[in-house]
Amino acid sequence: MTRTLSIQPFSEKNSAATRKKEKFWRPSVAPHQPLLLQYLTVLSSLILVTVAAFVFTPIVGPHATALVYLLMVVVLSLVMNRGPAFIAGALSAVCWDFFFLPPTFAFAIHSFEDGMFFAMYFVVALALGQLTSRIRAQQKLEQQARFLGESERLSKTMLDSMSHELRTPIAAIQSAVGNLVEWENAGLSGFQREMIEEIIEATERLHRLVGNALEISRLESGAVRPNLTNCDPAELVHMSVSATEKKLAGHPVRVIIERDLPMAQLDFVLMQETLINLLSNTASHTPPGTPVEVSVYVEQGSLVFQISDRGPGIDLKALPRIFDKFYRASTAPAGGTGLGLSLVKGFVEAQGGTVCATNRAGGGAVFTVRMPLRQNAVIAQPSLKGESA
Amino acid sequence: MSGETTEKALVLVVDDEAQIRRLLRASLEMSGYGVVEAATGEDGVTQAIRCQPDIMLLDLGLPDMDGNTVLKRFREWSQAPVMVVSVRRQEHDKIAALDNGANDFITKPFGTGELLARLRVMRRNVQAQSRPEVFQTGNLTVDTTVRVVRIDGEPVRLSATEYALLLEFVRNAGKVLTHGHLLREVWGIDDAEKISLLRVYMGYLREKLEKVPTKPKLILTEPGVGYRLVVTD
Repeated sequence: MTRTLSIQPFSEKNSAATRKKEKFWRPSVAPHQPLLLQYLTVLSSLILVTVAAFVFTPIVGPHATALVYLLMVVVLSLVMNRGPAFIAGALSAVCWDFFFLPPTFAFAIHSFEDGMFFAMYFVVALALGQLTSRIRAQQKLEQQARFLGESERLSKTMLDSMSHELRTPIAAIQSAVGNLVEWENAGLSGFQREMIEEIIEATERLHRLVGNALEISRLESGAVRPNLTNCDPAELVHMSVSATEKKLAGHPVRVIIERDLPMAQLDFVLMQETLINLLSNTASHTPPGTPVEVSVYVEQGSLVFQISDRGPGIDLKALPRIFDKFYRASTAPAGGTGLGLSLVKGFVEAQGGTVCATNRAGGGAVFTVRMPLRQNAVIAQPSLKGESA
Repeated sequence: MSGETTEKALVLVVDDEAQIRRLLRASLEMSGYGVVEAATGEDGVTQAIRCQPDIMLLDLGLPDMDGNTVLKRFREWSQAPVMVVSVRRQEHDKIAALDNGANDFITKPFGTGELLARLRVMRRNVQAQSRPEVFQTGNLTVDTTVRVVRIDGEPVRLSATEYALLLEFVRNAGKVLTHGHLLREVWGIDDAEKISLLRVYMGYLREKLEKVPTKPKLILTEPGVGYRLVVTD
């Protein structure tokens, strides 16, 4: 029933079989011979065919010989690069004209018919070489695309099963322990209750860590595709502030929303997680009682979300690194995952925005998220009160 | 916890994880539900036909078939409420499930208390199949016969579109309505991209109905999915 983590490299056997089948009727995708060898092959084939032609031309006539040359060009261009194929076409035309087209052993062409034949031969031989190599280039691209597609699918499968495998036991622990606490008739002693609280807290942290780590790997593998829809920035801010109410308890929170904000093309869920992560970060890095300000406004064609605090600010040494994966400032309280801010950066950049952190004049830190405003903006909400406590 | 229903309601739990099924069984049985388990989608479809559950609890990530397929096949013959269980970042699947007739969703991992509360609301909504002409939740009253909407007893003037939007919520009280569903039912627009229109009208509606429009208590936002009219317990 359970899905296993072992993932087979996309069925070897299968793709080998397809490759074989392709070779049967298609030119090989990438000639492996070095170029010099290819030119030598062209030259020797040309000599071989020319010598043979001296034998059969007197019987079949010079025009049939041209077709034999053409056959050679076709075969060569199937296995060779563009350059050698071009040379094979050109040289065979010259050879044919010089050795077999009357007057023989001269480049001169007497009849109009022969001239036309020569010109046509030349064009056909060259076009053939070019067409074949173009097909081959296309195939190469297709193969690359297929490979990329398959590796993308592979990493997605891996992430999906990782997510499933890791989250299921965590969910089981959470739900089992939750049940114990929720039913008052479970008859727990004070000590048992205390231990259970510890389990709950640790599981919660494990859950966050696993969730964040998976999210990071999804971002890095490009699996996070923002679903951009028209979002109301005010609603985003209010929902995120409500979601972090508990964590920010004890901090006076001021929300400042500019009037007549336009709708913004954002991924609501990613944006909400961005703001929640930033607010949680603020909550855990500032002493209780210090004010937090969340504002959203338009500036130079960007929608700006800003979270400012009056905490200790960010250490100058840490400042350039705070968005790095697993980077934790020396002052960071225990319990964090070291991933929150790198997730913020990933989420914001996935939607085409930027995020930066600075220290405030008068103490404290400011996190600024700038999201590009796209065309066709609509006024989000007509007359919502701008502020709330 | 129990005692709300005279007859034992039967819950069909479709989840591939044995441990999760056991845990759900334990908490559901403690709250007075009967439980039937299915470990695969195929099994879920069969069990549903065999035991005619009152509620289905359906995990979207099943090994043998898409949870949405199970849902569609169940909906071919049953209107029993379905609660979809999903993991974070499955907005698309959630929307599909809701549009396929799921009544609600819950995101893993969830607390048992929350699940039981949601199940109670879902059951109550189904039991009240024929909606009363006067709908009431929290401080909101909607009299559908005379089209009067009241907040704390005070009548509220709504435009035709605002009323149509509210009515759609009232008809599906407690249920998550996707953006696409609302646009289709209220505006007749079959294009989930026209979401800004919906957001604008949700703003109007909240402005008129909510005490603090920025902290809605009546119609909640389900991020990335849609909205839900809260039914007070």
